[in-house]
Amino acid sequence: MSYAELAIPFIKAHRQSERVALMDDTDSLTYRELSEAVERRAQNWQQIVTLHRPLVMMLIDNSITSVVDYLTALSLDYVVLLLNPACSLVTREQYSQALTPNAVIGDGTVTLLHNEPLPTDARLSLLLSTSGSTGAGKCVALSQHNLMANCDAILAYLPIVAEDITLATLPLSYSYGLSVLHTHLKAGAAICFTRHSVFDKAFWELVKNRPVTSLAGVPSFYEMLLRLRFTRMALPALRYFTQAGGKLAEAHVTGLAEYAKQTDKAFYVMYGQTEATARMAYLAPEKVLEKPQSIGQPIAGGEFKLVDGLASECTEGELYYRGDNVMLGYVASVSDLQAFEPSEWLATGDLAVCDEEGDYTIIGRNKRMIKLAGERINLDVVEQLYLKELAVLNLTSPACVIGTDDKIIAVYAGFLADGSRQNVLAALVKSLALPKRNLQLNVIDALPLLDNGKIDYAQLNKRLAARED
Amino acid sequence: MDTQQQLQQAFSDALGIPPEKVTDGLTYNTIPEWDSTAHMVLIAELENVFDVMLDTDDIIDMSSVAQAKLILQKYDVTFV
Repeated sequence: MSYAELAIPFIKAHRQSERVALMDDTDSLTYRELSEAVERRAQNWQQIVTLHRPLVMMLIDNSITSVVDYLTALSLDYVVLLLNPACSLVTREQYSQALTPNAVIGDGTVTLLHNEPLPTDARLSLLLSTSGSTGAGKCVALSQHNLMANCDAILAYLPIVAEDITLATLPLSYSYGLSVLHTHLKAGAAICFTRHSVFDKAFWELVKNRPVTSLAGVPSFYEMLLRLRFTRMALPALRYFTQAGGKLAEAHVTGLAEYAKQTDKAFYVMYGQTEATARMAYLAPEKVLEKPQSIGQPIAGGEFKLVDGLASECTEGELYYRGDNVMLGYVASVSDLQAFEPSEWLATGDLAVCDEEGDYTIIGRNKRMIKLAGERINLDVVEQLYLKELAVLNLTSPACVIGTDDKIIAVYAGFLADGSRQNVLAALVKSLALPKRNLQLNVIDALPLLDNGKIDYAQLNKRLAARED
Repeated sequence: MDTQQQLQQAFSDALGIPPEKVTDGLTYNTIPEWDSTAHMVLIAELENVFDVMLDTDDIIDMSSVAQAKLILQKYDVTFV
């Protein structure tokens, strides 16, 4: 293969462009330099990995070298399991055991683990974790077709132009963060990384001086911006900002929409899931003030339906989505990689209503899922980890996990001495890799049960909510 | 409770660390408990406890316990 002709996804058309593609606090790469870096790395890696379509575990952080790693792997048609470098060693070990990757990639280097070919579905390209940095949850399997379809649909509504500079604050291991990367690369725009957080002066100097033309964030990001009096800042170069990854409080949405209106910017409220590559819907910016809780309408090529029991012609029910960005399926172990039977409709697990203008609003959730700092957490997975930790600590009373957005509540139905309490919390902080502020441990007398003997989570939620008031 | 104790308690509550760990030298991003999200909780807590509304620059400059005291003094909170 001639490396100059390596088909690098997203950036093929910008092969000769002298525009800046990526920048961090010290370096930058033009599109031409990025293409050459990918070609060089591809050449190096092919000396080390001779296998066709190896499964690689890639630790991706928000850095120039990680983007080169990622584009190199996609160009070489590797099957890539993308992980947040912040995930614990235990989590990495669990993925290693479940999926037996051929190699590990991080920081520009590939390390070969074994040369046993793993049969994979020809469409499979990318595996994204559904649990963020929390535990080794099942993965969402995506094809390059999924990635391209979603990228194009987003480019059809977000006003991304080649002159843009976006600041990538979301982790690239997270589908929303990855979609920001894909769309800007495809548009030939610049993506800026920084190690500074919004609470550093240098962050805002960067925003003003680059200058940054767009921002993307989850609810907690905008809560921080509002706390920092974002809506009083003069940021003339900022053209638009997007929010997804969970529901932002109505007052905050309204505050941001008013700021956008006054300063001639656009505020996009969006909806998606990793199962749909990233994006499924967005609300037209001019409607945000009027419908601050709405997620709007499906992206180009996408379609929603509401399902209530057997009835599928209703205005309230579980939200289903269909489109080219719907995943191939889930992967929990290496045998799942062989063949996928993608379902046409994706059940989102969210309950929604649709108004007469065709705008959708999420009103609740069907599944045991919460969002923590924008990332989805399956409470059943957390519960399994919690029960394991309890067993290790020799605590044998019934226990379970419930939660709301940004709060995991571990429940223990029995006696817990103060010392044990601290031990349980410490074990959870460690195994979930979560800050203590997102965890709560509640002791109750007994778990409420349903007729079938299963835990009555709804009842438990109600009871503990009442206790907090 | 005097203002020093109030400050200590506010840091302790917001960061989820024992009050005795709240010393003047404690600095943002040097302990896992004091990350950007906790910083937001901390600012809210300080604004509540001392009934002030901090400016963007002051929120960003509040990078240590000692710094917090200096900044709060600008808002007429005195520490003995």
